[in-house]
Amino acid sequence: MPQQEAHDRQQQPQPVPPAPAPAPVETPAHAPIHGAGPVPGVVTPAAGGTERSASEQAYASGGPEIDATDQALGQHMVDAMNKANGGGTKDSGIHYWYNYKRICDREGPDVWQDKWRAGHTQADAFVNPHEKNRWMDWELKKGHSASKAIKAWLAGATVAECLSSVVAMEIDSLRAAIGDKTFDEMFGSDDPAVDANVADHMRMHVKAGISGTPVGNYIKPTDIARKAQRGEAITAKDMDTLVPGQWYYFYNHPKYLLKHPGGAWQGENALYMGKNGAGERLWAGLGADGKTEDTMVDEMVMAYNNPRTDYDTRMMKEGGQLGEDGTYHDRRYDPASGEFPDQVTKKDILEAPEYELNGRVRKGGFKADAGKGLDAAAVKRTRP
Amino acid sequence: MSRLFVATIVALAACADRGGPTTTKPVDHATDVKDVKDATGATGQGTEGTAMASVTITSAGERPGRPPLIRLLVNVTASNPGSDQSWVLISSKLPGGSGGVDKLEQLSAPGGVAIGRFLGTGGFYAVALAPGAKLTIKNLEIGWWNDGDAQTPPPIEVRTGTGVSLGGADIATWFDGNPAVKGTVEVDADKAEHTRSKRADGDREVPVQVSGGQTTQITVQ
Repeated sequence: MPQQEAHDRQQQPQPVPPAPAPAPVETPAHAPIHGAGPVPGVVTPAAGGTERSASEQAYASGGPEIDATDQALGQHMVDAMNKANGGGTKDSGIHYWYNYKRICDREGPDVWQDKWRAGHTQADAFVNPHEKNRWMDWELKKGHSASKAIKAWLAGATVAECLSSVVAMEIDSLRAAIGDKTFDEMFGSDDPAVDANVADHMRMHVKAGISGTPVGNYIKPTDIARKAQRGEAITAKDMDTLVPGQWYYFYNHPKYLLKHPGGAWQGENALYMGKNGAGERLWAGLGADGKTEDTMVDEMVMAYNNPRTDYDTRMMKEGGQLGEDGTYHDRRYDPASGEFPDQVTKKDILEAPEYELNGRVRKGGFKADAGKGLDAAAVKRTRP
Repeated sequence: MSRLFVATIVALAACADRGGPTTTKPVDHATDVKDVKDATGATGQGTEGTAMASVTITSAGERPGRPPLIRLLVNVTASNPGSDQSWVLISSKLPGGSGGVDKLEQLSAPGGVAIGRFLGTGGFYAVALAPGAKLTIKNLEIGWWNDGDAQTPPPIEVRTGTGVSLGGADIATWFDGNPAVKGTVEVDADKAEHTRSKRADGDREVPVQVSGGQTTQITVQ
């Protein structure tokens, strides 16, 4: 499925959505029942039993598990990313198709199914992407609990890529902050009476993009992103306002796709994870754990400098840049044209001038205007 | 992971007729290398009468990376039975690069062991071994760019030497404190913390020159 692979290899940063409405725009047809009440602030020991924490009580009641604050929502993201990067097995974890195929191939020659490249989860509450030819787009089946499903998607085994994985983590952070009960009422329930009130356009999707997912109306730009969007320079002091769990993007060399039209390393969806003992910022994406900005770009250098692959050639032929006879129809892709360097360093990635390709202007390194995260105020308004 | 590979190189750590600088490019030292296909990592016998340093590398598993990158975990044991301090440089990328380095990220493992993670197109890990020292680093991450969908990783480049210069400066000056490991020490890279960084001037890569040792490609088995 070449087109799906093309998507796989060309993950784009998501455009920063406009500021969210005061309340979710996609209001469920049936208003959430707010019967769970707030998370109890004081834990009362059960008679003769053990104490349960507020979050444990909330979990049991389907109420909120975390606070609706930037810090708590962000920490939920950090924890989810750490868990995802902890690895997995054939029956657990989130995997790039390439890694999951390796796991399957060790179990036998017929275990891996190529259609899973488009996305797959063992969580049976979803219609898988390959079932409806929708690349990296999972739809919750009617009559299933959205809260149980998103937890099962994250538990895996799931075959996904970096963008849909981060979206799933954002969805789960929303779930944890508003509680399973409210989440199910909004996005899908295993209670037929409740599920009947979930409009089709509200039923949960997990996909490579935030639009049309439960967090579509809850994501907002960070303060740094707003400043960058206004064209103002981002200072070191601004960077100190980063909150762990916020979601940014790093670009590879702006001409990466000229050298690697089929490459998966044009950029990285990355969560801010806090600072390390050297005082440097750490970032993580699916398959990239606890990277400094230098180590992240260092890997991009390696990805750029690798030779073109057969898949790069295939994508150029499919895209019309390269003819079957080996003639370049688009000279920019010809290594002999001098349009792009064959080898780069970290400094080259960070300092190369911006470059436009296929309607998108790219500049290597940290993309400040892509910063986003859940809008804590909007989430708070949705809590029971 | 069950797939194990064990290879031992026997390197000349202080041999006058091999004291010239080595480059970062792969060098065929087949005559200096004796593979010991033995899980004990026993040191093989090299040229008679020379001081020997040995490095043993064992697979410790994999972590998922972004395709085609596989984060290979290895256990490295380096010994320096010689009378001079020895540096051991282990390529952090597969296939290894032939370029320079632009940054040191100094990792501090429990027990005060310093591991240098040098970034750049010729990136590597560096440790210094005092005479008689033996260091085992568990779970060291090697970035394996597996474009060809191979089932086993290509050889890992290991350089040993009594002297290493980075852009003409002694590598030791890049570290905070004396990085030389003494005695027998075992550390887990997973528990090492990045505590200090040093950048090359202007963030430009500087060339790496190793003297008093050799460069060896360890075939993964």
